[in-house]
Amino acid sequence: MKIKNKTKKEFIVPGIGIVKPGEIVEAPKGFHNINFEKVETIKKEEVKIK
Amino acid sequence: MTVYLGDKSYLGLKVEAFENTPITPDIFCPLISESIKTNINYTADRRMKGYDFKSDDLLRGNRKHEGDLVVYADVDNMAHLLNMLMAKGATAGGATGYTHPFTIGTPKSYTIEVQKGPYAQRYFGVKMNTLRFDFEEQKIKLTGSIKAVGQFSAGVLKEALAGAVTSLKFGHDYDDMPNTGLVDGDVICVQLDSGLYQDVTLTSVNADGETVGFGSLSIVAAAGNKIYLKAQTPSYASLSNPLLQGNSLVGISTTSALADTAAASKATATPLSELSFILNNNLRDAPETGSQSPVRLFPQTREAQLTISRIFEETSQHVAWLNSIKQALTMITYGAVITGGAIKEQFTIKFHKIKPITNDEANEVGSLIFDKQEMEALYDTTDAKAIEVSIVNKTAGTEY
Repeated sequence: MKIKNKTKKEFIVPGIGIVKPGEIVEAPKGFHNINFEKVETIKKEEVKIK
Repeated sequence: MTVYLGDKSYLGLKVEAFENTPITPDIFCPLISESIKTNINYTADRRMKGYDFKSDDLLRGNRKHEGDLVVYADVDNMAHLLNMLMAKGATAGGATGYTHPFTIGTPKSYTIEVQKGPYAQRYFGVKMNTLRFDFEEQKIKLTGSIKAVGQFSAGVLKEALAGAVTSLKFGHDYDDMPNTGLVDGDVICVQLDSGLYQDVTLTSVNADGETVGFGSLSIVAAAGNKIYLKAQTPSYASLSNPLLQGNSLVGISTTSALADTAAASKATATPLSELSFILNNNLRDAPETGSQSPVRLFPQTREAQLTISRIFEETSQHVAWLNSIKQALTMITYGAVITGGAIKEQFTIKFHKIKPITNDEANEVGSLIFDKQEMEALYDTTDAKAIEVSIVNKTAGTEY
C-alpha cells in the first residue's frame, strides 16, 4: 500500500524511514497513522481493440 | 501464538480542542515505561442470595483511569507534559526558538494513546496530577502521574453483522455510552466469524452512544465478537535529545532575581549532586453524576517539594534550616541549538521561595559530608508567585 504524508512535517517512521511532507512512500500492510493518508492506486483496465 | 514486545509501544498525545472531548493523537513520544490503567474497582457481590460460597458475581465501583508514564525530558515532550499540569501563557518568538511560559493555573486536557500490541489504549480528558523531575544517569527523567475522564480500547459487537453494512453497534457491558472515546477517522478492528479481523475506518461516531458509521463493507460477524482500536504506527517529528544534568545550572540565593543571576554562569551556579522535585496539582477526580468515570478533573491546592544534595562546605544551609530562612532556586537547562538560528533549547524553572524541612549532614567513614535536604516550595508574597517555568523549543504555541 502507498501512503502520503499529509502534514507539513517531516517524520521518521519505524520500518519506513524518513518521509518528507507530501511524499508518497510504500508502507507495510496494516499501516495506520493519522498523519498519513492512503493513496488509492488506479487499476488500468485492459482495453481490447477489435 | 503471537506475542508483543513492549519496545514497539508508543505514547501518542494531542491537546484537546474541547476539554474532555477525545481527539486522535498525532504527536508521538518515545516512552521509557508506563503503568496507566483503568480501575473498575470491582468488588464481590456480598448480598445474601443463599449460596454456600462468598459470591456469585462482581459489582462495579467508582471507575478511575490513572497511572504513571515515564519519559526522558526533551523540550518538546516536556512542554506537553507541563501543558497538562500548568497554564501556558502567550508564546513568543519564532521558528528558530519559541518561548512558552507556564504558570500555576488551569491546565489543558489531552487525549493520549499507548500501544498494547495490536490495540491502542486511549485515554481522554487527561490532566497531570503530579510531575516528578529526576536526574538519571545524566538525563532528566520525567515521571508523570496522570488522571483521565475516560478510556477506549476494546469492546464487543452488540448485534450481528451480515453482508454489506455501513454501521455497527457496541455492546453495553462496560459502559452505557460504549462508543465514547472514538473519533471520526479512527480505525477499529472487528473480529469476523472467520476469526480474522477487518479494519474499519470510522466516518461517524453517533450521538446515541453505541453506533459508529463507516463506508460500506461486507462483514459477517456475530454479536459478542471483539472490536479494538487499532494501534497506529508511530511517526516521530525530529525528536530533540534528552536534556542533561551536565547542561543544567542551578542558582540558589535569597531572592528569585538573584537566583537567576547565579544560574546565569557556571562560576556563580551551585553544583548539586542531586536535584529532584515534584509538582503536584492534587487533581480532584471524585465521582459525580453523569458517568461511572470522573466527569471532570479539577486541580486543587498546588504544592511542590524538592530534594537537594550538595557537598557541605560551610554552615549556611544548616543555618537556613535552623532559622527557616527563605531561599530561591532557579534551574536553567540548555539543549541543542535550534535549526536555522543560534537559539538553544532551554528549560527554566524558578522556585521563588523554598525552605528546608530537613537538612541532614550525616558523617560516614570515607565519605564527604553532604547537605541532604528536603525542601518545601512556598508562595513568595514579594514576587506574588511560587513557581514559574519556561520552555524554549522549535514548536509553535498552536500545538499546545
